[in-house]
Order: sequence, then structure tokens, then C-alpha cells
Amino acid sequence: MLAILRIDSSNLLSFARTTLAAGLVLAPLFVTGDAGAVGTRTFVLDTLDKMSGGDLKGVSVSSDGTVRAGFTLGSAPIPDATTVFAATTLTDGSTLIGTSPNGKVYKAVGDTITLFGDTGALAVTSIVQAKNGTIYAATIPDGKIFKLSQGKADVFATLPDASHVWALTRDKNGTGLFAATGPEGKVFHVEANGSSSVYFRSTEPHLVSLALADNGDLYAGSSGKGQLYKITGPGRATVFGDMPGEEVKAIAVGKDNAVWVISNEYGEPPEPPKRSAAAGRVPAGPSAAPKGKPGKGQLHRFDAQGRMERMMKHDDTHYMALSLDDKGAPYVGTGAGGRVYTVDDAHAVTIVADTDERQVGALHVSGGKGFVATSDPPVLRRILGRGGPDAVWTSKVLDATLRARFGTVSWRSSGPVEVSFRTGGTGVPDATWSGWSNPITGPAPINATARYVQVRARFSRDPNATLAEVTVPFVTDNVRPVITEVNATAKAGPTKEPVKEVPASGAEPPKRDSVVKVTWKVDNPDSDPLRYRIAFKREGQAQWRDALKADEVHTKTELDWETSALPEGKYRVRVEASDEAANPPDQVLKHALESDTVVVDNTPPRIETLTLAGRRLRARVVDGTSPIVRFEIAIDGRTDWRPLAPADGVFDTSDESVDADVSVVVPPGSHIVVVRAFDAAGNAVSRDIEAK
Amino acid sequence: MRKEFLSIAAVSVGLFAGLGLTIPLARGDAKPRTISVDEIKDGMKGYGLTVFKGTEPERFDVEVVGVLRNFRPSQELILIKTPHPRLNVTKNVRGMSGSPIYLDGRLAGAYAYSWSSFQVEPVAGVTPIAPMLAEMRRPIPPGFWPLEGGAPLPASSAKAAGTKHASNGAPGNGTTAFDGAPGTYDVESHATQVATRLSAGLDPSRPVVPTATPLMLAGMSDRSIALVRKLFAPMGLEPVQAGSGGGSGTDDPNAPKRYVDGGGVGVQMARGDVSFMGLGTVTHVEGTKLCGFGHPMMEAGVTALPTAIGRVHWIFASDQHSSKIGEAARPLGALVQDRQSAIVVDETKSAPVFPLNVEIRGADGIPKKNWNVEIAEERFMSSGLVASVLGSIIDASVSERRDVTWKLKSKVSVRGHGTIELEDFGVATGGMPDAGELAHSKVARAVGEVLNNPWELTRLEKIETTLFVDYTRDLWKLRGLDVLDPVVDAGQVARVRVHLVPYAGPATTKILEVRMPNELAGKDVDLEVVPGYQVVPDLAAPQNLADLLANSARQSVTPRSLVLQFRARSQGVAYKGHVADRLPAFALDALRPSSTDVAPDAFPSYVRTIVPLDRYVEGSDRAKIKVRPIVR
Repeated sequence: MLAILRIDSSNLLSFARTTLAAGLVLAPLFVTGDAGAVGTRTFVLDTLDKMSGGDLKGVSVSSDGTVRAGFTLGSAPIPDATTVFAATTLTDGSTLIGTSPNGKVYKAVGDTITLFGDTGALAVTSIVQAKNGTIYAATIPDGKIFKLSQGKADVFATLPDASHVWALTRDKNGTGLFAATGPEGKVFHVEANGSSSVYFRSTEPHLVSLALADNGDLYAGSSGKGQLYKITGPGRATVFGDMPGEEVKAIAVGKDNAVWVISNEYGEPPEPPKRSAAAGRVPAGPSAAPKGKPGKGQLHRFDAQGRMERMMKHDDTHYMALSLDDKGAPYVGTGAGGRVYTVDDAHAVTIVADTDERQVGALHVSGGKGFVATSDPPVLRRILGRGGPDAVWTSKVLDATLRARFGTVSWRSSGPVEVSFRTGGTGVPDATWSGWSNPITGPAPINATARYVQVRARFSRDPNATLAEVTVPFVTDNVRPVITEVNATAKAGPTKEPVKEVPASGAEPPKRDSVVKVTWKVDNPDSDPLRYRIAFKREGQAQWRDALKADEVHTKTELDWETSALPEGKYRVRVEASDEAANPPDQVLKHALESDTVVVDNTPPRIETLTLAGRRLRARVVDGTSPIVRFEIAIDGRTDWRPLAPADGVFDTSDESVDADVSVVVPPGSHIVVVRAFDAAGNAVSRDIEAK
Repeated sequence: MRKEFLSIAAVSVGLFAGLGLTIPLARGDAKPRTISVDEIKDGMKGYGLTVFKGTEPERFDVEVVGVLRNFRPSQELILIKTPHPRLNVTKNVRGMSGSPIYLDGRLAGAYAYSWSSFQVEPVAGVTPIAPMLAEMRRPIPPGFWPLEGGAPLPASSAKAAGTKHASNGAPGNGTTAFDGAPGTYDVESHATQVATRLSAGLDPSRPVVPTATPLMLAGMSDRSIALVRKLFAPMGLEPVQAGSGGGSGTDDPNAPKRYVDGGGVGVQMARGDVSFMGLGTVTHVEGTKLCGFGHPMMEAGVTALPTAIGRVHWIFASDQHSSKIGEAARPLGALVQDRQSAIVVDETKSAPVFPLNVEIRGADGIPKKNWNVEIAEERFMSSGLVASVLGSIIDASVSERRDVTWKLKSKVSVRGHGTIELEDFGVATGGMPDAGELAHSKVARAVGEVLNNPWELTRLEKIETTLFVDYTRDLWKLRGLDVLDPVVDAGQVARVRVHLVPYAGPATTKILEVRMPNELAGKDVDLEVVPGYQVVPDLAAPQNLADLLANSARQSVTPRSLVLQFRARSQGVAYKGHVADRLPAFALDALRPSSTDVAPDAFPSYVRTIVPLDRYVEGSDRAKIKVRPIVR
């Protein structure tokens, strides 16, 4: 039976993550008449990551990889701005959007965006509507709160010693405001007449988020150490939660008194360009300063008893916006990727919106409606509903890495889902790709040869339909594996690597090891499983002999070759790669490559002669294969071996003589003199002689 | 040695009068009778007109020695000898440029070029009259002079008409424009740029060059003249010490009321207690306009500089190059065209100038405490002139070779932008700064910035400057510092003691404190003590002239102060006049979008304590402290 490989679609070459999944969807195999390999592989899209790798227009993807119709979003670009910091829905149903870098507030009625007020500040960071309908806008960097009406922005309050007003919320009466500020981490209470007083003073540099519970408790989140404060009265506060990361970006209190908090952890921002002495006088040019990397975001829930539970986390993005819908379900907008996530009580995470913009600056979800206000570039995206003709899930471009025949695309679904596919030869779909196929509602063969394939699904017929586990089998062309390099060295011997430095004089003699380490590299474009055959022959002989047992299937790219039973001499090793494990015999492709010679020397040298006349030691040492590399002397069983030089000055042949005055080593008197010699393979021999 | 062919001005009536020759004073209201180059032959004889002394032109003989075809693009050059007793001595004379030359009783051109220095015979080049008359009749671009007879460019009407700046042309264009980013203005770089443009394409070894226009300087000190020479000489404007004459504002009642052919004409770049005038000769007057010089002054094209009837005192003879010396006799009209073959003056125009009033305080007994100068508004010249004038006033009033602490407080009024206040200051050992140093002062730079700004057309309305001098070495030298709290709790104050040493007198110490924010808990912090004038506050890059002017006045924190500062962990951004410092990470990220480069600029945040002192401080120092997290 042929195994079907289930491959992580995000990394086709990652065989380490390959598992057998014989019971999976079986697609009919395309019988090819020529070079097609029969090793069928399958793209399986079955997780949140895999299903959300492409485009998610109007669909949601949950953490189990199920795709549903998601928010259908409108698109109303916001002019003269780059970033949305705040947005709120007014009682008349319109939406006000606070932007930067020009501090303008826009009003959206439907998809019509008009300028509502211009604060002249750098950014409008928060907007609230008081009970009496008055609209207030917080700004940076001059610590001002504005009172807005159509076409007018009047300074309502200037908070002392506060440069930045990050968040506003109505007080319990609905007439006054609480304002979270920096850089001294204070909460101000602002009366309806604009007078202000410090309500809470933290030790943090910034308080950036606020939320008021029904019982009048005020929650404030900090930037610095990520503290969540519960403020029960003027100057009366406790740390309700010490959140992970540095920043409590947003807080929301549910009807069940659950407190939801998003917090972020950031690395060090990139160093800004050094300011020149003319800074402030030279007009800015295109900004070349490096942008920071996204942080890591976490969503936590505190239940009514104050117990904290982490509900969701992302290491690839920080969180920017938080909203609770009517049922208390959280929606979180990200700081990278422009996505909106939700999570249920079972911690099942679902992507409900995936926008083209970088960030979600503000978010409001209520009764399946609301908006997603994005930044960079700024767009107000109204939530128009769920599903519809525009709800399209599109997979990422799936790469077979080689030309491939694609089999039958299949999926699991509930309800009617219209699936289409297309194929092409470029990593990014372009005009050379095939068009999208006609929609299919059940498994159907793709019947195309290409390297890349993409699948999409529409949910227009039934907004409640779901899609999961999309599979696309494929068979690539069979391509010959090629051994590109074979190295064979004695395991304990000198390395084949180029010697970068002169070895130490009089270094330790080599250690003897009869194992030769054979390693090789292979170029295997179609990722077929490979079997290797290793053979050797002695230099001068023609016959290759197997280094493996007859029935041994070797699949690693290295071998410890035991040579102790071989006669000494120079050998070559040949490695042959074969893709026979994935292809029928008539289509098997092989390639072999030989190593350089490797010396097998398992016999020690011989001391042919050894004489000691007085303190004059003469000896001759001979080895069958390797050069003699060291000759040593010790006396009386001590291990203090002292080297002696050869008569010709250089150890360079397998026949060396020693003629040395050893009086320094052998003191007067009677001693047992032991000599030993090493060959280059580390084999040693020793003899003794008595000195008188 | 480089040879020069000097443009030469008119010949002295007095000398010719002495020879018994008389000529009518020409003042044409009709087109002159002219002779074309094709009709001019070798050996033809005629005469020229120039002022040898006073204001009335005199006649000198000329004889044609040849014609150079295509001497300049589409322009011939007539070579003449000028056999004249005085000119035989002086050879070619700077200031004679423009002297009309008549052949066959018809106007042939303007005496304008010379051969090199050290000329041994009076031979000159004559620019043919045809291109000069063409330039004189060349129309001024519509809207350039919105009000007939008035100065160009009232800002509002200029904007409304979308016209060019009179003296500047379109922002960023023109021979005398500064080519550099706003905020980087430097008058010496500007001078180099202008000189390069004027000499572009010209062979430096060419034997024939326009006669340098003598710059008549009055009321200027030697050190200021050195600056003027440095800035203007490469453009062919040669400083000559002279008097201010009628240019000071009190007209000489005996001076001519109108320009005449062969009469002196001066381009007044500064007038009043200090004056600065380029002197040449009128070639031909036609109605209320005249052409002169026979070569450009700075080849600035359409321009607007005040002019005056020139009075000549004498021609200084020199083997190297002779020069007229003179002054303004009566301000009249404006230079409206500065072209290759001629300058053109319109008597009915009034060029823009701005008053520079200087008051000197702290120097008792000086002969003159208030100085008033009118300076022509010109992109290149004005900044250097302001520096030169200030330098001259300082040299004349308070130049002493002793230690001095000085402060120059200037109010610069810019049309449509109110008044900005700038402060230059310094402590000098061995005397006051000279004009060269003042060229880099804030006030001189501001003039250049305003006139060369790339955003809008505007005018300098006036500059009022007060110079405070104190003959002391009013300076603390920073000897070093002691760290009083090498380890400090987060949120607490760190203290350093600085040792300050005066020039004479006992040393003193001061304790500076700065609070360590909690965010630095567990970190080592590098403290820095620097003089206030070295600390540039964080400012948003200017988006318009108003921003630039506002930022110009805020280029340092309190100058007489010590600043204890350290780098905070966070960063800030600056944009369109806003500076948002020490931002949380989410805000910094959100404010720096990736979809556009037109966005706030990030900068590192500093925490600073500024301690005002009674003197300036010299020197800086650093120290490291550890911020301890609070765990108790």
C-alpha cells in the first residue's frame, strides 16, 4: 500500500513534521505515463493558522480551523489622517472618529465621512458623549480636552501637568469625565464646567485606559508595568491586576461585572535617527526611521470574584482595541495585520475580520453591527452583517515546490459552500494563472499541472454554512536526487576541513579509532524519501563492496563505517541515493558520488631496532601504511613521556630512524627505558630496554 | 597671473573741459541714433562719456582697434583705445563700466571690459548698444511691480497675483537664491554658490573679463570690509572705502535730479549710517529708464535694488587696476534688470529695503549709540550686509581688546508673520566678535532664511537690534561634578554637585536634582550636565515659514543655565508644531505608520532639569548612577 503523506502546508520541506495519515481523504491517483512519481502528497488546511494564511474577506476562522461567514465590512476611507485612535457611536447612530496626525474628528453617517471638528492637536485619542449629548475629545500632546459640535472644537479643559490625555470615560452621573493621562500617570476628574482635579495618582508614567463599572468603580490601566488599578474613590485605589507586559491598552466591563483587559508586551523600539543640530529648523523629508516590530498581546478576563483567566494571546501582534457585544463576547482588534478576533468561554479563538490595513484603532460590536476603524491607512469599516456574496475565504497560495498534478479537492462542510480553485506557475497569482474554476459544491478533480494552487470558498448561499479541512492531493514530477558531497574521515582522525592554522608543535598523538565517519549531502527537489546505499573499495581494486548489511535500509545522510576488520590501505567510499521508496521500480531515479580516499590503518607500527649505548638511543620504526608521527621515551614506568626527534628532523614517512642523546631524560644509573611510536592513524607500539 | 579686462566707467568732464572740449549733457527721451557693429571698422574714431569728477560727464577720445565676433553668446565686443591724458595714466578704470562710446556721432555701445590687471595701455572692450537697448526695453514680468512706482510685492497682492518675488524671483530659483534646505542657511555657503553660478562655464584663464564694479563702502570697519570682500569679490564686486554722500538720506540739493548719459549710477545695497554701493556709469537714458554697466552686476535677471545718481571724487590710478571712488549723490529709482549685457534702472521704481536700527547699551561714553541703516532686500546680499553693518557698528563703538560679555537681542519683523525675537550672545576674550563671526549669528541667518524660504513670498519689514555689552568675562567654567546619590530609588531625586569656577574669584558649587522615573528601575542611567545654550529643545520640523520662524527663536533652552539631563527609555514624536514626548509604546507605534512617509518623526526622549545661572557656562560633564527598584 502506498502511504499518503500529510504535510504541513506552511512548510512543505519540513519532513520532520511529516506524519503518516493513511486514513485521510483519499483522492484518486493520477496515473502518469512518464516521469510522474507516485508519491502522492496532500495539502491539508485544517487549523486556524493554515486556514487563515490567505485572504479572509467577510469570513471568520476559528481556532479549530472552521471557516464561517464573518463580518461583512464596508469601506469608507478617512481623509487627511494616518491613524485612528478612537471612535464612538453617538446616540443618533452616527460615528465619530478621532484621528492623527492632524487631530481631526470625522463624522460617519453610513459610509459618508465628513469633517466634524478640528482640534489642531497631534491626535484625538478618545471621544465620549456625555449624558446630555455633549461630545468631548481627548488630545495629545498639550493635555487638552475639547468640546465638539459640528464644525467646532473648543477647548473644554486643560489638565495641569499632563501632556497626554489617553482615555476618557463618563463618570457615574454621566455629566463629568474621568481622564487618564501621562506622563505622570494621573486620573483627573473633570466637572461639567471644565474644572479638574486629580482623582488618582499612580507611580506609572502613563495611564492609558479607563472603564467605569456599574457600581461606580473605575478601572484604569497603565503603561509602564502594565498595572490594572481599581479606583473606588478619590485617591483610593488598589492594583486589581498586575498584567503581563508593559501596557494595559484597553479595559471593558461586561454586564456580568466581568472585567476584560487587553495588555501588551513590547521589545525595545528601534533607535530613532539622531537629531542634527538643525533639528527643528530643517523641514522633514521622507521618514527613513526604522519602524518598530509588533508587540505581543494578551486578553484576560476577571470574573465577578476578581479571578483572572487568560483567554487569548498572540505573539505576533499586540492588541489595540477591545469591545464587548451585547452578550458580553469580547472582540479584539490587533496592532498588526488589521484583524479582529473573538474568543469564547472554551477559549476557541475566531478571526472575525481580516482587513487590509495594519491596525485596528477602534472597534465597536453590538447586535451583529458596529464598526471596525482601522489605521495605516485609516478606513472606517462598518459591520454590514454576516455572509453575503462578498464573504469569500481564499487560501494562501499552496506551493508543491515542483510541477505537480493536482487531484481532487475536497473539504468538510455543513451547509452549501461554493468552492473554486485555480493554478499557476508563480508564487503570486498573476495573469498567467488559470482563472477560478466554476464553483463546485462537492469534491471534484482539479486536473491541472502546475506548481501552485489556490482554493477559495463562498458562503453566499447559506450564511450559516461552515468549511473545514480542505485537502488538495498532488503528485509532483519525479526528480532525481543528487549527492552533492561525500566526506569520509576517520572518526578520531584529522578533519578534512582546511587547516586554518598551523597545528601545535609536538601536539598530542592522534587517538586511534577504527570507525570512519561518512557524511554526505543530497539535493532532493521533490522531497521523495530516499534510501542510500554505501559501498567501498580499496585503492587499486575494481570491486565495490557493500558497507551495509544486505537488508539494511539506510535513510540518514551519515554512516559510522567500522573498518577494524579491513586490511589497511587507502579506500574510497561511494554513496548512492535512490528514490525507490516513493516510486515504482521502472521510475526509480538514482545518483551516486564517491568520496576522496580515506586511510584505513588498524595495525601499529613496528620498532625494527632499538639500542641504547650509554645514553645514545638508536631506533628504527616502520609502519605498513601511515607515516610515523611521534616517538616518545619514558623511564621507570613513569608516564612522563618525552618526545624524541627523528634522525632526519621530520616525521614524514612510514620508516623513520631515531638517533638521540637521551642523557637528559635518562639520568645516570640503572633504569628501564620505554619507547613508543605512533603512526598517523593513532596506532602505537612500545618496547623497552634497560639502561645501565 | 590672471588678467582681467575691466569694465570701465565714464571719462571726466573736467579733464575734457580743461582741454577745451564741451559736450551736451545727453538725456534722451527719444530713441538714440546708433551704429551697428557691422558698420564699425578698424581705425574709426569717436568719443566716450564718463564722470571723472563730480556728477557731470566728460568726453574722452576713442579709436576702434577691432571687433571680436561672438565674444559672448550673440554678442560682439568692440575693441577701442582711449587716448586721453588721464586714462593714459589710469588705463582701465573700475567704475567706468557703462560709459557710452560714440562713433560717427552715433551711440556704439558701453565701455565695459578690460584685459587683465597690470594693463600698460588704455585699451577697453565695448559692449554693443543693440543688446543693451533690447534689455532696457525688455518688459518686466506682469505683476512684478504691482504698484507703479512702488516697491514690488506687497505680500498680499503678490500672493493674490501668484507673482514672483521682486528681488528673489520664484522661491528656490534665480542666480542669487540659496540652494539648501531651510534651516541650514549660511551666508558664506550662499556666497560660494552665487559665485559659482556667475562663473559657471567661464574659463578662469580667459583674458577678457567684465570690469569689476567698485563697491563704495562708507562707515564700514576694516574687519567688515574683509567680510564684504570675502562674500562679494568673487562676483566681481570690489570693495573700495568711500563716503556715503547723499545716500544717507539727506539729498544734496545741487545733485542732478535725473540720470544722464555718461553720468554715474550707483546700486545702493545699504545706505544710512553705513553705506554700500556699486558704482558704474549710465550708458543711455530713455524716458524714465536707463541702461548701464555694459555687463551684469550679478546677472540676477529681474531684480529690485535701490539706485542713486553717483558722484565721483577721483579716479585712483593703480598699476594693478584703477578705480573710481565716489558716493551716492541722490537716491533715485531702482535696478530692475541685471542682465548679461547691461543693468537697467527705472527712475520711477522704488526697491524694497528694510531698516536696521541698532542701539548699543552698556558702553558708556561712546560717540554714537543709535545707528540706522537701510538695507536692500535681496536674497543673497541682505544677510551678509546685516552682518557687515553690525560688525562695523561694533567695531566703531565697542571694539576694545578686553574681555567682554555681549548679547545681541534682535526683533525681526516679517510681513505677515509678526516679529520674532532672537538672541545672540557670547563671552569673548580679547574683544568683540567681528562681522565674519556675526555672519553666523541668528539674526543674520534669519534674514537669509526669510528671503530664501521655499514656502512663500514675504518681506522683511524691519530689524531692531540692541547690543548689550559688559566688559567682564562673565563665565563659569564647569570644573567637574560629584555624584551625591550613586544609587537612587526609582521615583526619587538624584543629585549631583557641580563645581563652577569663574575667571577671577572664588569657585562655587551648585546642587542639581532630577527625578528618576519608575520606568528606569534597575537600570544604569547616564547623567549629563551641559550648558543651556547647547541643549536644542525638541521641535517639530517646520512645515512653513511661520514654523521656521517660531523654531528659530527656540534653538536652545535658557542660555544662561546648566542642564542636568538623561535619556528616558521612551521616545517622542514631533509633527507640524506638535511635540509629543515620552510616549507609551502603542502610541509611538500608531503614530508612525508604515503606509506613508509623511508622518511624525520620532526622537529620543530626555528628562531635563534646567537651572538658570547668572552667567554662561563653559564645559560639560557626565556621570553614571544606578536606579534601584523599590521592593520595600
